[in-house]
Amino acid sequence: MAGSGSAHLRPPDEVLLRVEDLVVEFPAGRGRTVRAVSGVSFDLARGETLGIVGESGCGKSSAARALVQLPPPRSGSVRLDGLELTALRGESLRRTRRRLQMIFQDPISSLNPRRRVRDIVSEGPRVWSLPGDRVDEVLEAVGLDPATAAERRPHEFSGGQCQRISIARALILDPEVVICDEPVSALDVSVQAQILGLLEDLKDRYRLTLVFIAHDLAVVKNISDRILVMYLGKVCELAPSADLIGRPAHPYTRALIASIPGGGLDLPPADKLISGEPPLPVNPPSGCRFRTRCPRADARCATEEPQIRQIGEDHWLACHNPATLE
Amino acid sequence: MRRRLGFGFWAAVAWIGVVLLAALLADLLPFPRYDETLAGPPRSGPSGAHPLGTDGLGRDMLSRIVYGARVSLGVGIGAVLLGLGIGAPLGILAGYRRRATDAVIMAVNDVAQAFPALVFALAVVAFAGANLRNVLIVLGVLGVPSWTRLIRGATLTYAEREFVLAARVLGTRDRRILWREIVPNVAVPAASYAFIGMAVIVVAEGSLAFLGLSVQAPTPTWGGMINEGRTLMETAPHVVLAPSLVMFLTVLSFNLVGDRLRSLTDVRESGLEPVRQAAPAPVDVDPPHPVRDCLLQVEDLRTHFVTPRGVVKAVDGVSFTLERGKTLAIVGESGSGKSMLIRSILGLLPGNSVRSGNVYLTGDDLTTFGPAEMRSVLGPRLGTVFQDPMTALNPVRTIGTQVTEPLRVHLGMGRRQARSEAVRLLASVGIPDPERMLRRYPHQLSGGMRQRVTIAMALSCGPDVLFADEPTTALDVTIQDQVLRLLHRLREERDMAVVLVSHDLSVVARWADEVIVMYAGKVVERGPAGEVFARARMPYTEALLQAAPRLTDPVHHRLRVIPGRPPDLTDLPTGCAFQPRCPYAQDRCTIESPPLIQDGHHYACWHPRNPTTKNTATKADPVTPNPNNRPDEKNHVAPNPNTRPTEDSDHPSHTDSHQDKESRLPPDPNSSLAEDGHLPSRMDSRPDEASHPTPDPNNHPTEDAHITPNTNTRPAEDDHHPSRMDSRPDEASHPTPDPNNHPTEDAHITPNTDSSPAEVGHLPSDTNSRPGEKSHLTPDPNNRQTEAVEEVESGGR
Ligand SMILES: Nc1ncnc2c1ncn2[C@@H]1O[C@H](COP(=O)(O)OP(=O)(O)OP(=O)(O)O)[C@@H](O)[C@H]1O
Ligand code: SF4
Ligand code: SF4
Ligand SMILES: [Mg+2]
Repeated sequence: MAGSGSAHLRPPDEVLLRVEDLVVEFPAGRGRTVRAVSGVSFDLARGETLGIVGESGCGKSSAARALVQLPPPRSGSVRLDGLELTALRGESLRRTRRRLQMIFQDPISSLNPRRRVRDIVSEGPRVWSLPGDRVDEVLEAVGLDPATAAERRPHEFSGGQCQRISIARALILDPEVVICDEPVSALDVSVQAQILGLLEDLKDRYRLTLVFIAHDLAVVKNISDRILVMYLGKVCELAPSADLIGRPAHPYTRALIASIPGGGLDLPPADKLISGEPPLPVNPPSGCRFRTRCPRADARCATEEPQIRQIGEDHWLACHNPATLE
Repeated sequence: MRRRLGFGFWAAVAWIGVVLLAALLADLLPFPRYDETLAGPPRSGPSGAHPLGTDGLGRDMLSRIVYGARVSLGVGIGAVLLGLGIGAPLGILAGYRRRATDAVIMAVNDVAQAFPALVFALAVVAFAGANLRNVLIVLGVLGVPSWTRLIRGATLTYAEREFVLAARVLGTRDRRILWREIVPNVAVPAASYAFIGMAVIVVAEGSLAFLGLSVQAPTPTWGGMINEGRTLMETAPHVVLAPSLVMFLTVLSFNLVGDRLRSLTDVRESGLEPVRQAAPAPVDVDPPHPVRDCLLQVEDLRTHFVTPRGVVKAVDGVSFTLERGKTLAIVGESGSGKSMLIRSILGLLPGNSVRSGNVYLTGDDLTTFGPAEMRSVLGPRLGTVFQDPMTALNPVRTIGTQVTEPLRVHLGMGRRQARSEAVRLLASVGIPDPERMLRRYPHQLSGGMRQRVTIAMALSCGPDVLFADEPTTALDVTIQDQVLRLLHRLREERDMAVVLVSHDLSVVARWADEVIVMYAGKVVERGPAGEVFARARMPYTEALLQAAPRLTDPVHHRLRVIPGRPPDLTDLPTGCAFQPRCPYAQDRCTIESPPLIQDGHHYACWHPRNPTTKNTATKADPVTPNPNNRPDEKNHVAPNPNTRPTEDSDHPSHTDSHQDKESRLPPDPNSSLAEDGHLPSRMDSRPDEASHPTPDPNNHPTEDAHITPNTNTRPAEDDHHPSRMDSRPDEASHPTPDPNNHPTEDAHITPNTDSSPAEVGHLPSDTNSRPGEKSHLTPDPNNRQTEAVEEVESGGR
């Protein structure tokens, strides 16, 4: 299979969130299985932002939801500060929820259209029987005026404002980790810039650790300390952001960068780096899952799954025939 | 909300209210009891004493109908509440829990629904006795399976929503999620169906009563009264007609209320309105503009929507021309009118719109075309590709039928010929194994393949212009690249023009020759793509460019934030529409709307950015005054305009910086900037530099004559424009020979891929020397000039 292994994980005591060998599968009818995430590992140090990129259907959102156990993964381990979340059920799982919050892609559908902003934001404290007096503070922190915004309903707000409300709802519980699943994909460039800036500010102010999922590499680079590239449920490459964009080694990472106009690197045109379409995750290719589109694939790629190995300082790669710029 | 319900709704509500109230207060109303015989002469028609007449036994009809309403409405409302009371919890449980719970509940439900309901009702009532309670229970229980199914469906749509997931992430307990998040949303559709359900039950009860299986005499029921009156049809028709009419009105009212409530929820969900062909405009005898010899010319196009909130100016005076073999990109934020502009050109507008202006396709004015003429143009001459290929394809027909249809209709091909042409077309858009693809259905294809199919369909009749509205927004980035490459290749092969709508500036910079920037329905900037991006004049364009993240930015780079949001199109600010969000706005911007003027390229702004001239260049920046912009400093500055203090360290000399950039650029420095994919103006705006977006203090007046092309002050350009200038010094020193400056061509956005040196050299001073040109610039360009000079003087002090 393409890109397994956990060599890149740091010692458990250095990280806040540690995900090991995560597997998420869904039944697809007629006895078949969608292999959404197949053995993905990553970790986050406290205060770090990890970006996850990949094309639609590569398992980004499935992985994000498996982190919050909605639904729990088929197998694998998710440890928050040493606590194994996958082993928890019912009330004990519910009690960890405060520490791990999530922001979704669709700003409109993330908010209940029939509730007022104040009720939406104060839902968390109410559930946890905490004082709800921080509503105004978090609304202000996300750039909304509590006096005018709190009593209104979501449909009176623009997409960007709705996304701010979602962020406020997550923030009010003082979470340690916030998982952002494509939080700016549905927004206009100018609003996207506002939300990215807001997330950076809040991260400092509330000492957050972020998982930032997006399909837009430029957006991910802007906000992430490290970037993980996924393809069809597997890890391709993991490196500090500047390193990953400046010295991509995995053929798929290079194709992604070359597909972005004005990418800055001296790469061949994208159509020389990738061909065709991604195969369906019900029937992923043997060996390296990228081999059906990879210009560097050889016989070994079809039989042997590349393991993650280190190729530079904190630069990790799963490929038999990596490319280098030089 | 109230406004949209309409008169019929309120009339229906009033009728239900009156009937309900009468039934409740029947005992207090001043008429004889329902069972008082010979209250008046039998079988008498309506009169003062008996407004609805009397029946065969001389009983008062009005009284009987009002008491009958107790039964009808009682059963109607009671049975619905009973059905909902059992069905709703089951449905919510099934829809929310899913899996096993759902499977069990729905299996039982299916069995129950297969039961012959009326037979069951008849049997139970006949066995247990016909009284109000039994009828109510039987009709109520019979409704349970339908209610379960309905509520489950409604729950499913909300249980999938992300706000429910978000509640679970917050740690909310299931019971609270059901109660707080799901029930309020399911309640509205449930209420609408409840009204329709009541109508059904009133009819059902009437039928039972007619058969004598409902509440027994002497208690009146509407159905029973109709039954009794049957024999009197000849002599006293009112005995049948009165209860029939009341029942009819009641059932109608319930249905109406239910329907209106449902459409309320539906409309919010879809928001789609029917499309109609725009009405042809009256032929303009003498259009106030010349009709040019070009492929597509759009003149002062406006599309306004008349809505309850006011007039929405979705497209507000757009003009441009487009030549064969060129790509025109339209960019702007969501709601700026990009799609509406395309639909206005194609004449495909929603019903509540009004269009004006002209659209010429090789000289023919499409706005004068009738529906039939338009049909012969759409497809054969104007092709369209939209964002969501799924909506453009019919899900129940094969790719083959859909691709061959336009070939057969428009080009009159036979079945075989059309099929082989379709195979050729699909192959040309890069679809592998096209023969087999013809037999597939749209849902069997990936998004990228579907978009290729719609492109193949758009191209099938060899259009002159291809309109692509966000053709790759729904696609992955690697597929996006493939599709854009394909469009570009097809454009070259077929020598057609492409109008590309996109919100992705890097895509536009890479693939477009010309670009139009839209804001609030208006064109705010227009020109060759490379030039607009290299030297945006309008602050909105500039802000948009700086707000988009780029791979070449450093990590954690702070993007430019445009405060606020786009204006409400029904309530535009006075003056410049961007003024409330513009950091450079001054008094004039709030009063006068800036016209689209040509200075290099076209832009609409009173205080443009990136000035080319001494006058505007030294204009003080109102917001971020540049500390370097002090006269005394000018003396310290080296003559070379490119060695600005901030850059000295990393770029020791102009030539060096130019060369290290050059190595990343394609060998031909004259090739359009757009083509190398770099966004020059943004590439180099590193944070330290971005803080000095203001006029360059080094614009030493004496140098103006020969450094014109790179007086642009944004550091960003320095690396690029000089490179072009240096490579062709002779051109740069001739500011005038730009063909675009010709007065008659001002409305053209003729692509000019290597126009920069010439266009940059187009100075206002130079403009002044050619009075003929002024006429098509601002209404009063001299005003602007003097104003700018005044500002310089006061600002420079
Ligand atoms: N049927 C309609 N009735 C009233 N207003 C409408 C109607 N259709 C569109 N509008 C308005 O016209 C304006 C322009 O809409 P348009 O769809 O052209 O924007 P756009 O630039 O294509 O946006 P996007 O990037 O979101 O596709 C919007 O303000 C929209 O609300
Ligand atoms: S070279 Fe082989 S292992 Fe590497 S990405 Fe290509 S197919 Fe996979
Ligand atoms: S006209 Fe004024 S408000 Fe409008 S963009 Fe120009 S400077 Fe800003
Ligand atoms: Mg649009």
